[in-house]
Amino acid sequence: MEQQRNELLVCTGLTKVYGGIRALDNLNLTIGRGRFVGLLGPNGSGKTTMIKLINGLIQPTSGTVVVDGFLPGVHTHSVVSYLPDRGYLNDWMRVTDLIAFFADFYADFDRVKANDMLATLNISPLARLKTLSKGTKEKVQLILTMSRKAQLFLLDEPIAGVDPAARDYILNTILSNYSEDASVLLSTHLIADIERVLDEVIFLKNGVMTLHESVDTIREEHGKSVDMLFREVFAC
Amino acid sequence: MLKLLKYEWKACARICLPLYAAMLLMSVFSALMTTDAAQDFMNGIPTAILVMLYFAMLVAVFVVTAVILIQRFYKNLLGDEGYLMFTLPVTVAQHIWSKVIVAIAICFLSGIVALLSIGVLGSGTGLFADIAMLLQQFGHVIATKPNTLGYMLEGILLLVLSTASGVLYLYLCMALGHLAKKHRVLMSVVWYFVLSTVAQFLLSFVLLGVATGPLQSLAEALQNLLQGVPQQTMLHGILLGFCFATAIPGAICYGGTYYVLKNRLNLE
Amino acid sequence: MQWQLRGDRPIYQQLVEILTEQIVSGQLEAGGKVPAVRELAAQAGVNPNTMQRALADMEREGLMYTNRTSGRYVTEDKEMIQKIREQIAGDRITEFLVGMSQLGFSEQEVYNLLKKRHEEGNTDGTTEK
Repeated sequence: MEQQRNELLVCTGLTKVYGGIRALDNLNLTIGRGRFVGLLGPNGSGKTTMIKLINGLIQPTSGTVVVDGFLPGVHTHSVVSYLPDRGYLNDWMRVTDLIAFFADFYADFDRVKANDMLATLNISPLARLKTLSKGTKEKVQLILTMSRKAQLFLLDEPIAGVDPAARDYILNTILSNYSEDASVLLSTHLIADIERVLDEVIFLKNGVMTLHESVDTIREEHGKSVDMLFREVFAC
Repeated sequence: MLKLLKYEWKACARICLPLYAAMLLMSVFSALMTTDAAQDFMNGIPTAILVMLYFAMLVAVFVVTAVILIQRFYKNLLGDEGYLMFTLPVTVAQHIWSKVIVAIAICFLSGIVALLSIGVLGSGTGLFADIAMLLQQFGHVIATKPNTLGYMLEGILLLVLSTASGVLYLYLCMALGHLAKKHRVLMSVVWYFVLSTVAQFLLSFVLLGVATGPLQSLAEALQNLLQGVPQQTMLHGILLGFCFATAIPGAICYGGTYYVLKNRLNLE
Repeated sequence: MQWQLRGDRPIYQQLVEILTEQIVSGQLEAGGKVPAVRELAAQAGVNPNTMQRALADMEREGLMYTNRTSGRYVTEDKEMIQKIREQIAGDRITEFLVGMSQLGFSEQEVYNLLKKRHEEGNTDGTTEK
């Protein structure tokens, strides 16, 4: 059993109802520190809803989310680094403006790291966002998100829109960036690509958590990869 | 908070400042073109066009100001950008205040620019002399009647408060509109009319009350109380009273917006 | 270059196998220092936690040991490494023979085939017996 202080994220009876539909149904979940967790489920299974609830962007119908001992608010925002599933950046800003913006608001933002990553991915810091392609914009957002020394990284579909080469780089960046006491919660449906980097997986099906297990335990018990198990569980 | 103000100001200024510059430039041109010599040129057709353009521009300044007020709140907090803004380690109150303060500044700047350009157009070359004279007279008045300065300050306060109330009212409408599941923009407009109607109803109710109902005695008592008071003090009182009266709906709107953003936030 | 991993077995087990092979083949020298967990994890393209678990397994098997101050090392016990090397070879041969027998070759026939290839001087196949 994990000790109290090791619990980074605790969801208790978390439920969100959208116009009669239970987008998330009575979710009870604890994630410790230093874990890399995959949030898996088909489209519309409640992954984004869950991540938005953790961020306080939507309010639960019932139940609570506690991050680092606090309900979503100023403190949790300062320890959570969030990558949404959509573009949230001002089109008219330059990449450097954004870096200045993040550095201004987040005490844990690392400018040097951000600029290094931009250079590696060949993104000009002077480019205006509206001149960048969709994939490049996503990379910029990811760089901004990963350049923080946050405790919890919430990444909503971070690799869906980028090419496979960048995908490898991004996964490596995530792996090498997160420190021992930080956790990553990453939602995706591209399981095969990321399975090897995950500690634990969570299966969401119609808003219900059907599985929360370590990757190796799944492989031991089922004798198959998470990807294969996923295809079985969610077979149409 | 200061950082929020800085970015809010930057976002507004990049649209407003060029517009203001264009506006002032336009008024200078128009002023030059309305001199007699210019009016004779080509039967005054260019002048007419320019003047029309000028007024279009004047209207544009106010429309753009209003649009910026609405857009900065709606897009920045309730649209996709809200994903960023509401995950900053910043309180909801700070968000609202930074928006309100910049909004007031923009409103005032628009007003000042409009006045200035009208001044330029009206007085032509004599403008600077006029301004100098105005300032001189103003100083004179303040020197002789110190109360005037008080009125001025109270007047400005009243302007600020009423602008703030107006802006907050718009914010409340948008915040309420975003609670709807769909047609959020439409719902904001609906809320705007609903709340306006309610406010008007309440106002007429109060006025009616003053004239006839139980509030009449209160009003009379107030009148009696004020009879002995010197005129200057009364004027101060009235101005401050107005300030107070505009602050109340502003505070209500603020409270409502705050509550919605804090406890009922539901970004799509 | 990421390590080749298969889907059907726990990742840490496969990491143990690959690390063992690296020791046996001399890629990781006996008595040499083992790279840091993070470095190895990045090399393999896996989670540091998983790599940590694999390394702990290696220690339990005695193929690695941790020095409190200077980090993790490969065992100096060459005898042990040799034993494991032979064990792996034995496993591979068994696997190979099973495959051949599925193709209908008897052990004698396989032996003859190997001999023939050896005599042709073609050494790019397996030369172990």
